[in-house]
Amino acid sequence: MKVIETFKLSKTFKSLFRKRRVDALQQVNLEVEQGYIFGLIGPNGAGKTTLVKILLGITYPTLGSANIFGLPISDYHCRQRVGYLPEDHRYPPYLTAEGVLHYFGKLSEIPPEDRCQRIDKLLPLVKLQEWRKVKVKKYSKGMMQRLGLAQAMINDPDLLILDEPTAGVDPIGRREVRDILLELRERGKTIFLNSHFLSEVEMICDHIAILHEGRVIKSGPLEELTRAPHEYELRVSHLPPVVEQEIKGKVVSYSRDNEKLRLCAESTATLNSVIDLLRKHKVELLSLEPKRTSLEELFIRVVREGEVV
Amino acid sequence: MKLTAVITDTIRESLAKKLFLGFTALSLLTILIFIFALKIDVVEGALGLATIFGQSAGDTPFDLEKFIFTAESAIASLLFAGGIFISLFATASLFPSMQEKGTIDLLLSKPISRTGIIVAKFLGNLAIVTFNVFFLIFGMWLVLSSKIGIWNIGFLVSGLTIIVSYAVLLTILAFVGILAQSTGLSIMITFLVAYAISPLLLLLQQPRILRFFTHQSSRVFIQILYYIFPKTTELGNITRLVVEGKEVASWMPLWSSLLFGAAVFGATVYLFYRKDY
Repeated sequence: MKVIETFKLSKTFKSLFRKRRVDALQQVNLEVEQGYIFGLIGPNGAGKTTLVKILLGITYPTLGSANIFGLPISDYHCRQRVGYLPEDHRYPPYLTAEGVLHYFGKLSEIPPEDRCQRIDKLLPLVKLQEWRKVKVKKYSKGMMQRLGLAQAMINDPDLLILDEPTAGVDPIGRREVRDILLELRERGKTIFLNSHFLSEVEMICDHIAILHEGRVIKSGPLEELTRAPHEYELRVSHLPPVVEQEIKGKVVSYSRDNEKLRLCAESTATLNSVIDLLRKHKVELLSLEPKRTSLEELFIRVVREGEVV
Repeated sequence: MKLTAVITDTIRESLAKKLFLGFTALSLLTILIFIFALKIDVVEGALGLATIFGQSAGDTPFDLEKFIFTAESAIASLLFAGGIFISLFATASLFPSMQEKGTIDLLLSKPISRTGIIVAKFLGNLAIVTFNVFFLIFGMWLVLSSKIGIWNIGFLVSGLTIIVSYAVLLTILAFVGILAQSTGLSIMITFLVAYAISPLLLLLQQPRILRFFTHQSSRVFIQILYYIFPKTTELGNITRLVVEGKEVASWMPLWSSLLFGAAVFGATVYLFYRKDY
């Protein structure tokens, strides 16, 4: 089931007095399936926040359309099952953590009993149990972020849209947030993550989309996108020089770091012939893994090339 | 539940600003002063002798009805001028602050219509001012009436005209607040309309002034403007007449101001509905 669908979504910002126009989004087509963690990444000003704001009805698209749970985004009921943590969130400073969660719970029409139960469950989860009666104006940035996460989960949403959820959170807190998100995925929830922390995205996302200058320039399963074609890493025990020479003659590129061999084969057949060669010379093959590029490498390459898919 | 949440939050936000609490405390103090300090002895039915803090206000008996009408009229006029002024000042930031980055994003991401948000915000705003106005009016009405024995319903009704007048001006505050997201500008424009444009148009449309405009089109233009804009001065007079139990010659200022308020509020809802954040 598709949780989010966008069809040629475009947004142009026009200045009222100046003739300047900015195409924040240009014909964005995206599909987010249920039960996945979807990462939206892109350089500053790529249009990530604009896309999120359009999905949530905060900003209107200039052209195109989008659906959440099959309902058009113009229908505010589609947000009944959505939780949102904006990048810059401000909570009424005169409220306590408990008060904030009650307020946003009421806005999501959660009955009082359920709300109390959810609050009792969420505050310990985000480590704010002891602060529940303290006014939020006394909270640190990290605490506000954790409260934000609890706020986004108050209606037990099926879709969680998070804009930089770990900004300002310490490494331990980041790890805890990641664990919460992974646990939510286990429960079949869908998470739409907008983050600058590429390592974080790489750790938890199943699918990603790279947005650049308002266009989706790459999207798909993370595993597929980061897989380097025909590049492998082999660990072997004692490689005789003769065999090494022979391998070099078979592959496109070759490098060695002690027992680790990195090679680029033209095809799977070439790889198999390398394995056969090792076996023939009784070289023990300890492991074989397809080589992956890091998300950071992929991101930088794709953005620099401006490669359009 | 959703609208109630926004209304309650608006009231909380107003209370957090402390100005309304000060207003309520001042009202309470006034009521207490009248409870403990003012003593009126009815001498011959409609005549009385008053003592304030135990000191005689004079040996000559006075007309009780005139006294109560004057006192209540003074309170209503003071509330109309000062109360509305303070209330507008205290609530001016509510619409711009709602649209601050981070606040508006969260609000709009919830399953609530934009129309619902703006209506609830308006009602919350109105609720806190209504409470404050009626707290003073009802309290004073109870104290004065029980001490004197004349129960002037007109004084209670004047609370309604004050609230209606405030509501009309609140629509301007909301419109500018949504349009410009500036508290300062909202206050400036609302005060300009209430305390400058409205009295000026009242003056200009008087036949003795209007005759100085040589062009017929200018005269028509001024009269159109007069009918369009809210009529704060006349609303103040209506409030006074209602308290004194006198006949109100024309209710036009009230309904035309209400029409203005409805039109501006409609425009505010539309503006908020269309706005990108």
